[in-house]
Parts: sequence; C-alpha cells; structure tokens
Amino acid sequence: MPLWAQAQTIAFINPGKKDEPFWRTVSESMHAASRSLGIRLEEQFAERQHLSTFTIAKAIAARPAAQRPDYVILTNDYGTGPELLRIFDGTGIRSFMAFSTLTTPERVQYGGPREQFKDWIGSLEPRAQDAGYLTAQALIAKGRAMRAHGPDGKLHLLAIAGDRSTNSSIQRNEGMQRAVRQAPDVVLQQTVYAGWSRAKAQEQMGWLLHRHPQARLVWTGSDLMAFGAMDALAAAGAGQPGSTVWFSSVNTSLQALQSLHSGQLAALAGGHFIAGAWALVMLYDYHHGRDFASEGLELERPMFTLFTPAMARRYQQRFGQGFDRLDVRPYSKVLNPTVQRYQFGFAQLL
Amino acid sequence: MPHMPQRPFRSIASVLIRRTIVLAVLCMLLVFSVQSWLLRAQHQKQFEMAINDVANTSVPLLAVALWDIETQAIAAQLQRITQKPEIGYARLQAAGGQRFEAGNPALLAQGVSRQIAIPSPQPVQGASALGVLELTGNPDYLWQGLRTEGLRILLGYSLLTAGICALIAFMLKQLLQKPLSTVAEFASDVCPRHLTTPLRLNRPPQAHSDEIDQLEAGVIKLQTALQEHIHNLDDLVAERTEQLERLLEEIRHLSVTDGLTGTFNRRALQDRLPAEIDRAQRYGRALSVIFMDIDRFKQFNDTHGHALGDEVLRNAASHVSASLRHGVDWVARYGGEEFVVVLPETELDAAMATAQRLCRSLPEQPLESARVARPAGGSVPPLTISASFGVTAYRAGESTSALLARADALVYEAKSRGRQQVVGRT
Repeated sequence: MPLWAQAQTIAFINPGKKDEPFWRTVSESMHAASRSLGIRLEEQFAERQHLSTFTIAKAIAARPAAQRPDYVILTNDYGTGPELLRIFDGTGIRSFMAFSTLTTPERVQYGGPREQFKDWIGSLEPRAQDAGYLTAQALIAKGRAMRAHGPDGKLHLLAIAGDRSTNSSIQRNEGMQRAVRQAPDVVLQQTVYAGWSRAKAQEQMGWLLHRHPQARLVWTGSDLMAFGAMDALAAAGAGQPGSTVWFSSVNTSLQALQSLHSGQLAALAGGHFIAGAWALVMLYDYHHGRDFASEGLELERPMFTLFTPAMARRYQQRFGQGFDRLDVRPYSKVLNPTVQRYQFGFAQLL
Repeated sequence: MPHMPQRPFRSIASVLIRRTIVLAVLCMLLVFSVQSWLLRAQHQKQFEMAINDVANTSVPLLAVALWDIETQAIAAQLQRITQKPEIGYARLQAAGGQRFEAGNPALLAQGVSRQIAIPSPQPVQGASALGVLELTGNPDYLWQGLRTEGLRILLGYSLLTAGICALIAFMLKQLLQKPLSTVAEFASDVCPRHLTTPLRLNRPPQAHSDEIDQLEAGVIKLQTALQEHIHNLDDLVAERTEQLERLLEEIRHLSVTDGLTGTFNRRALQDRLPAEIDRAQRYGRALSVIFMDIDRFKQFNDTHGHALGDEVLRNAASHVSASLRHGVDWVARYGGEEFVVVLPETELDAAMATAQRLCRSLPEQPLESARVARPAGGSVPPLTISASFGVTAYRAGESTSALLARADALVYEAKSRGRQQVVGRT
C-alpha cells in the first residue's frame, strides 16, 4: 500500500497554554490547514511548562510503532529543542521545528537538520526580527508625532520582552534594538523579561514606572504582556495608554486587534501564527515526495505584518469566527505544480 | 582490744569515683563555659563573615534580579541567603516600595541586624540604590551550636569519666581492695595458734613494689616481731616459773623444815606421819617411832645462853639425821628440845637398837663452839649433851596422836628413870 494512501499523521507539541491567545490561534489555524490537506493532526499543550514537553515527547516516542505519528512538529521554546530532537531521533518519527529553531550556539553543538539528528528534517521560522523591528519603528514614529520626549529631548523607551532563550524572542528583541539603533533620539531605558506572562508584565511595569518615570514608550513582545503593562499603568494612575503612554505589541488576538482599533495600542504586528499551517504544507509536500530541501532545510520567511486598523478589521472579518475559511492547498507544490517557491507570508491571506 | 565505733562502710574506690565524677562535672562546666564564650565570639565573627559573603555573592545577583525585576529570582535569592545558618531573617526593601522577606521575622526583635545597600548595575536618575537588604542573625544557630558543643563535651567527658571510673574501680579492686581485704581478714583471724601462718596475698609478680607490698612486708614483719615477742615471753614465763618453783620448793621446804635444826618441823610431822601410818596399815608393814628429848636443856640454856643452846639442838639434830637410813628414816623437831624419829619398815627391836646407838653416840659429839667460854689453861671437860629416848612401834589401826602420845609417855618414863636411856615398848 503506498504511503500516501494512508492518512498522514502529524503530532504537534504546543508549548503554550490552551487559553493563550497566540497559541490558541496557532492551534486553530493548524487544525484548519490539516483539514484542508487531509492530514490527521494530533496536538498536545505543554501549558508553558517546558519540562512537560519532554514528558509528552517521551510518551509519543514510547508508543507502539502503529500508533506513532509520521511527523512531529516541535518548537524550541526555552531551549527545549535539542532534547526534544534527541528524544525523537531514531524512533522513525520525523521531527520538524516550527516557530523557533535551534539557536546559533545550539546549532554549533548539535548540527543542522539531517546531520547529527537524522530524523530532524527541517525547520520553518517566521522572520521574528520583523515583529520587533516593525513594531518598534511604528512606536518610535508615534512617539515623535505625539511629542513624547523627555526633558532631555529624548524618547525614553521601555521594553517588556518574552524570554532570553527562545530564538523567536531573541530575534524580536534584536529587531526592536535595531530600530532603536537607527533612531538617535531614542533611549532604550531598560529591557525586562516577563516570560510571556500578563501578571509578570504587570508587576514589572509597576517597578519600571517608578524607576523610569520619564519613559513614555513601551515596546512589548506579545499582546498579553502589553495588557499586563497597561494594567500596571492603570493601577498606578500613571497615565493613559494611547494618550500619555504608548504601547506596541505582537500577535493578532481579538483583544489586541480591538486595542489597535481603540488606540490603546500604537502599533501591532502579527500573522506569524500561520507558521504552523505553513509547516503542515511543507510536511504534506515532503510526505508526498516533494522535499523542501531545494529551497533550504531551514526556512526563515517574513510572516509578520504590521497591522493597520483597516487590516485589523479585515482580519476580524475573515478569521474572527475561526479559521474555517483558511485554505492552504493553493500553497502546496504537490497540489500545484506551478508553485516553484513557497509563498509563506501572511498578508496575502487577508 | 578496744572496739571501734561502728561507722558505715564506704570503699576507697567509691569515694575516688565520686570525687572523679565531681571533678569531671566541674571540668565539664568550665570547659563548656569557655567553649560557649568562644562559640559566641566565633558566631559573631561567622555572622559578620556571612554578611560579607552575602555582600560579595548574593548582593550582585540581587542587584541584577532587582534591575531585571525578576521577583521570583529575588525571592529565591533571599531564600538562599536565609539558608545560611548564621542568617535567620532577610528583608529587602526595594526603592519602589516593594518588600521581600525570607526567614523568621520574629528574629528581627532579638537578633543582630546589618543593612546592605544594593547598588544599581546601571545608572538610574535620582536613585542611588535599587534597595536595601537587611540581614538579621539567627540566635537559634548559636543555641544549636552550643547544644551540639554541649552534647559533644558531655559525651566526651562522660566517656572519659566512665573510663576513668572503670579503671579506678578495676585497679583499686585489683591493687587495693582484694589485698587489703585479705590483710584485714588475715589480721582479724590472727591468733597465737595461727601466728606462724604467713600472710599470702597471691599478687601477680610485678617489676615494681608498691604500698601493698610494703603493707605485706609490714604485716610479715609484725608477725615475725609478734612471734619473737611471744617466743621471748615463753622463755620469760619458763624462767619465772622455774624461779617460782624454786621458791615454792624453798617455801615448801621451809614450811616443813624447822628453821633451827634443819629437820622436819612439827607440821611436817603431822603431815607425813599419817601417811607413813597409812602405808604401814595398808601394806601391813612395820613402823616405829623414836621420841628423843634433850636432857636438862632448859638448864643448859640458862647456863650457856640461847646461842649455845641452839647449837646444841643443831648438833643433836644433825647427828641424829646422819645416823639414820637415808631416804627412809626421818627426823622432825617436835617441840623445844624434842625430836621425833620415824623409822618405816622397822620393827621395835631394830628401832630400839637405833635408839640405843643414838643414846650412846650423842654425848660423844663435841660441841665445836667458840662461844663456850673456857678458862685458860683450865681443863674443863667439854660440854656434852645427852638425850632420853622413847621407842614404840605402831599398832595396827591406831591414830597418829595415839602413837605419838605413847612414845611421849615412854620418853617421860626414860626421864623419870634417870635420863640418858632408852625406854621401848610396843
């Protein structure tokens, strides 16, 4: 019986929480994509407990051969990637890294796909620098426009980042810093790491308001952290988002899109959740004989889009009720012989 | 032997052990107080060192955590600080008003506290420090140390004391108690009969002699001296007894001898004669008695003085004694000038013959006295003495007095017949 005659099974270890907007969006879009491609997708949430990703991975690897998935999609959140790859290596389950792949030092140690880890076939990352760069750029522009300068004539910026170890987080921060370097009138006061947590961001923002009273611009690495920081601002009575203090954020949650609308968020980038769906497309093609090696084993593609209020409206119209309307089949090389190169942006979906 | 007052017995070992225990307890207390004092000082120093340690290691980390607003890391760091046994409570007052604490807040009231300012890793406007770390010592740590030290000292001293006491008990038992008890028992058992039994302690041979050996030697010396002393006493007693016996003999002799003549006296006669009569009666033997009375003795005495009279009596007595069977016949002075001659195993006629012989020979005895005044150139005949004799034989069954009375009567008869003659009858 040919391989493709059977339904292709793919497992996804979701590092986030079920109620976390971004990772829920990832989950929904991937399920929609797998439906449109006829893939059997199995998903398990690690709930941000990075040790439990290993537990989940080991349980999958320990299954009898018949019950094992053909592929497993992993993320390198909090540096769990190498260990996850090790768990699956030699089991016959092929690993694919989406959203965040091995960091440069990790790659030096463990090698790239299909090297040390033979069953690691490749990776797809949204160009995370874009998220940081685009939102920081837009935030700085807003600050200049609103004359949010301090007494020293500089724009004082606070950064609430995700974490220090995940590749995508590092890249986002790097993008933000690149934007700051290009703006001589901007001082990055301090970067803190809230671990993608709304509560922690709120706590840290409380401190930062006291520590850096002249800062009027707040760059955040994710929507939840932005809301946490706004909570702290409200609690301290230190100003109004969008009128005295300006925030930028990443992710296309409903609340984030609404905040962009209302002006509470000065800048929002998003769309990279689609990396999961694109990864399914790559694995579908690979499974049906079209290896993506021709384009590269490790792809980094721009997926982040800086949302305007109009785009936000369109996104809500299209995907506000879910991702039933998401059809990724036009982007598969196996299904579309004319497609020579993967078009893995996001804006084209709106 | 004077009796000692009864006092309760207590062995030297128990006294020594008690004293040792008391001494050990005192030493222990002394050492413990010195140790406590040292420990206190040491703990003070340790606390200061811990503070320095925290300042050098934790504070930079805390500064970073504070700067990065990693509250979990701050809390964990504080926990780590309070895990140091010297530090009981740590409180961090952040510049923004936030407060973190770990450990036991109650210690704040009783412990020593130090404050360390936490510098900002990056310059911040208007704030010199990110916060102040206040560290409080842990008095429990000192108590725990003291407890541990106390236990250690107690255990060590207890073991040492127990060992020493056991050693004392053993050594004293071996070295003192057994030998001393043996000596005491020996001494209480000592009596003249056992005095020659030597003291045996049966101690194992040792290179050195000790007090017990001295005691043993002393006891043996005492024994020897006692033995010698007793021995000497025996000699002395024997000597004295001999002397006494000699004296007794003399007294006995004196008591039966007439002082003047050296013959038996009347008392001896009264003792001896009944015995002779008994013998004669029991065996049916003959027994004769001669009664002799010096003639005209009173007159002689008056004429020549008592001294010469005495000499006369002495002469007569010795003459009579010399003329008798030695060891068989005997003489007793019966009265002033009367003598009784007792002749056992002698029939009357033999007694008569003896009396006749005496009667004849007595006057022939010269009186060798210088006191007899003799006129110079005068041929005064030498003084002579004579005696009258009554001889009788014992009649079976008669009494002593009867026998003597008869002999006396016979002397009287001889006197009346003209003196210097023998009258004999059965």
